[in-house]
Amino acid sequence: MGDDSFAAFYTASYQRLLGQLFAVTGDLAEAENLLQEAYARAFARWAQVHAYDRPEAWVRRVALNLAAVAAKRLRRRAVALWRLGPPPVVPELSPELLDLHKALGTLPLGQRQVIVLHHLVGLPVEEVARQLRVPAGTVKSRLARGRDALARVLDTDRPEVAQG
Amino acid sequence: MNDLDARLQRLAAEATKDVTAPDLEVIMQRGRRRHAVSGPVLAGAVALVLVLAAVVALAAVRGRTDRPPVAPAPTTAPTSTIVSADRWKTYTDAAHNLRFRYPPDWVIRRRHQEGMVTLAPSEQARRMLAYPPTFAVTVGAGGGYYIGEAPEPGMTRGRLPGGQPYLRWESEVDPSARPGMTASTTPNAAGRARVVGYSIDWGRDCKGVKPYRCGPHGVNVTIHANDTALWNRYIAAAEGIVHSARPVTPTRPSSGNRSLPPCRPDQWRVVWPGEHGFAGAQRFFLSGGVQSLGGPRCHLRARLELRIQRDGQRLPLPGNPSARTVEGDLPEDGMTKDGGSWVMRGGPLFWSFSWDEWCNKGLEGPTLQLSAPNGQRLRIGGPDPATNASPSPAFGGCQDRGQPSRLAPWP
Repeated sequence: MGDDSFAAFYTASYQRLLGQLFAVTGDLAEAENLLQEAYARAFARWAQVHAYDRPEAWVRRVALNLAAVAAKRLRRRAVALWRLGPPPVVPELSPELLDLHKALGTLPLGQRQVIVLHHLVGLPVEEVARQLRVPAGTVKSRLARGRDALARVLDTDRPEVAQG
Repeated sequence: MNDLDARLQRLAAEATKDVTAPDLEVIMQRGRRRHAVSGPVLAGAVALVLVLAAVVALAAVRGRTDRPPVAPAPTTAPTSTIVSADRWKTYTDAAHNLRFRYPPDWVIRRRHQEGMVTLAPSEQARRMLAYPPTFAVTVGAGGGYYIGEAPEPGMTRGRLPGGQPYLRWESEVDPSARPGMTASTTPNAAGRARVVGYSIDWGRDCKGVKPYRCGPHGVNVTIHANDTALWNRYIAAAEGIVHSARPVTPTRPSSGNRSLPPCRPDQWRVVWPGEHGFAGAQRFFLSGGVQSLGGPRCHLRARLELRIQRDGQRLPLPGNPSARTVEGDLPEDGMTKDGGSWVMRGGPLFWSFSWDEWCNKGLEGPTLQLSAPNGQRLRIGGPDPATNASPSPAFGGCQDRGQPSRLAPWP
C-alpha cells in the first residue's frame, strides 16, 4: 500500500519537480541526481511525508536544500576546479529558452530559488519565505533583484513587485 | 500570468520533455538503504565511521611513501545495476547525432571536449571525471573515420545491433599511470585496471565536432574499470550502453555514394606517405591512402594487394599476398598534401596491412609491392631483419620468437 501510494506520487510529480530543479540548478543531470536523492529520502519516511498536506513541497524543499549544499561545496573548491569542471548537462532548448537558461545561470542561487518558487511553482511570497526559511522581506528583495537582472538580459516586461 | 512565468513554464517543460523518470525500484532501494541506517543503527554507524576514519588516517600517514593510492575494491557482493533495458534512460546529443541509453541509476556528465560525455554508476560518480576513475564509460562523438592509423593489440571487429561496424580492443593499464603512458602488458590481476576501447563507424553526415565536416564520422567509447571487481560488477551494463548507441538521424554509408559514376583509372592513384608504423616490436604496419588526380566526382571501389617478395619471388609466409578493398568518393575522400605532409581527409580509402613476426630468420631483404586495379605498382622497401631496422623510422627490438610470420589486411 505504502509502495503503491509512493509510486503514484512519484509518477505524478517527477517531471514537474525535475523542471523546477533544472531551472534552479541549470544542469539537468544535477537536477536529476538531487531529485532522486530527495525522493529516496521521501520514501525512507513515506508514512510521515505522505501524511503532509503537500508531499511534493517536502520533496522540492529537500532537493533545494541539497542544491544549496552542493553549491556551497562547489564554492569551497579552488577557482581552477571551477574552470576545469564539466559543463552542465543542458537539454536541447529553443534559442529563446536557452537565453533564459543562461540568464538564470548568472543569478545567485538565492535569487534563482525565489524566482523559480514564486514565478514557476506559483507560491506566494510568504510561502516562499517559509520554504526557504528566510524573512519575507528577503524574498521580496531577492525577487526584485533577480527580475531586474533577468529583465536586463532578456528584455522582459517587469512585473510589479509581488505582494505577500 | 506574466511573461516571466510563461517563459519559466516553457523552459521547465521543454527541458524535461524527453526525460523519463528513473526506475522507481532504484529510488525505493535507495530509500530502504537510507531507512536501514536510521535510529540506533545510525548512531552505531557514526561511531564506526569515526573509528574507520582514524584507522584510515593512521594508515595514510604510515603508508604515504609506500605506494600510489589505488581505489579500494568493493568489499560487498556485487549488486545488480542492470535493470530491464526498456527502463533505461535515453541520452540524446542531436548536434553530434548521437543517442544511447543508460541505466537509470547511472549519472552522466558532459566533458569539456565537444561531443564527449562520461557516465558512471551513481556509487562511482565521485571519481568519474578523475583519472583513473573507479569505473566510467566515456563516449566521444563526431571524430574522424573510425579506422585510424594506430593499431591496438587484440583488436576485434563487430557490428552494433543498429548495423554500425566497430573495432573493439581491451588492454590493461597501471592504475597509477597517467593518460598517455605506456600500457602494461602483464597478465591481468585483481589490482590492474582494465580498459575497453570501441571505435564505431557512424556513417556520413555534416554534423560532428567543429569545424563541421561532411564525411565519415566515428564514435569512440572507452570503458575504464580500476580493478577486476569493478569490471565484473559493471561491464555488462557498460557494454549495454555501447550496444544501444544509434544516430539520431540516419547517416549515409561511410563507403560513399555508389550512384556516382565509377572512377576512371586515370582519376586516382595509390599513395604511400613514406612512413612505416609498428604495433609492438613484432608487428610491422604499412598504411596509406588514395589521391584524386582530378576529373568529375566519382565513386571508387578498388581491391589493393600487398605482396612481400625478394628478388621478384614471393616469400612463402601465410597471408602473402594479402588484399583489402577500399571504397569511397573522390575527390572528397582522397589524400591531399597540406604544408608538405599528406593528410587523410576522408577515411574509407585508407588502406593498411600488418606483418607479424617480420624479423624471423629467412625473411631478410624483403620488398613490398602494392598493386592496384588501375595498373599501378607501388614498390616499397621493407623492414630488414638482417639489420633489425626499417627504412623509417629506425626500429630495434624485434626478435625471432619461433612464431610464424604472417601478413594480413588491417584491421
